[in-house]
Amino acid sequence: MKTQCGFSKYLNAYLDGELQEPLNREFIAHIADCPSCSAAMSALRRTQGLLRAARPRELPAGFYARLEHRLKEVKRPRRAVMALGFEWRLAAAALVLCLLFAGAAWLPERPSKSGYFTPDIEQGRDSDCISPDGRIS
Amino acid sequence: MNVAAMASDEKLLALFLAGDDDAFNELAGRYAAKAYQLALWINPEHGDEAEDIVQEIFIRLHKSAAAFGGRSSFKTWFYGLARITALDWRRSFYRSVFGKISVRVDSENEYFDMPAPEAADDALPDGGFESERLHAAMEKLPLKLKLALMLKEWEEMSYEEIADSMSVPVGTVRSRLHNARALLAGMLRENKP
Repeated sequence: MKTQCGFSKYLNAYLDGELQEPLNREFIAHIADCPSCSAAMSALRRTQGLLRAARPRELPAGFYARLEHRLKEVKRPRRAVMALGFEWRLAAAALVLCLLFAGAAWLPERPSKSGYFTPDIEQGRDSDCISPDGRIS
Repeated sequence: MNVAAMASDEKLLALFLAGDDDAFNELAGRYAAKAYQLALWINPEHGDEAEDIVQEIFIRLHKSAAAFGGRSSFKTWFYGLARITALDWRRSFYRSVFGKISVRVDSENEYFDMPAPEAADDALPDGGFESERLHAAMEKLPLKLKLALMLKEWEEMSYEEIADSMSVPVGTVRSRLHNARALLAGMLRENKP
C-alpha cells in the first residue's frame, strides 16, 4: 500500500493469515488506530471478496465425456513388469535363466592367480592361465 | 451418501491407484474447471486449445499418479503438474511456429503500489461487479501474479504451499501476491462502471 505508515508492508500477510505472533497482535492493535492502514485493509478485503466470489470459466459442454473417452486409451499405471501379460513374463523369466546358464558355461573353471582371464595358448589346456611373469599355471 | 465426494484428495488418489476409477472422476470434477482457467491464462492466444491442455493434464495425472509421494498436499502437487503441462504446451507451440523457445519472464523486482488508501475504499466496485469484468482484469495481470492469486484466493493455499507448487521461495510468493492485488485493485478502479 502506498501509505506513509511503516506497518503497511504487513497488510497482505495479515490479510492472508500469515503474520506471526507477536507481530500479528501488534498489527491488530495498530490498525485500529491507523486510518491509512485501516482504509488499505478495507480495500484489500473488498478485492479479496470479489475474487473469491468469482468462479473459474465454465468447462466446454461434453468435457467429461471426452476426457473419459481419452482416458480409456491410457493404461492404468502399474509397475512395468506387472503391466506385461503372463506369457511375456514367463518368456522374460526363461530368457533370464538362459542368460544365467550361458554366462556360467563361459566362466573359467578356476581363476588365474593374476585374476585375469586369459585365452588358451596351448592345445588341450582349456583353462590354463598365464601369470604376469609369463609362467603357465 | 456419496463416499467419494466426502473423501480427501489424497484418499481419492489412493483409491484410484487401488483400481477405483470413480475416485479419479471425482478428482477430475474437483479440479478440471480450475485447470481449464489455468490453461486459458497460460495460453490466452489459443483458448480453443485449452480443453486439449486440460485433457493432457489429466492424462499425465492418470499416468503419474503413483509418483505422488505425499511430501506435499495433493493440491500443491496437482497445480505443479498442471502448470508444467500447460507451459510445455506453450513451449511446443512456440517451437513449432518460431523454431525456438520464447518464454516471457516477468520481473520479480518490480513492486507495485496499491491505489492511495484514501481513495481505495470507495473506488473499488461493489458486489454487483460483473464476473466478466473481473476475469478481464485478471487476464491482464502477468501470468506469475495471477497464478499466485488463483492459488491463494481459490485454493486457499498457504504461502509455503504456493511456493512449493510454483517452485519459488516464500518471499517471492509474498511479493507476487502484493503486486497482483495492487495491480488488480488499480484495474478494477479504472474499470468501475
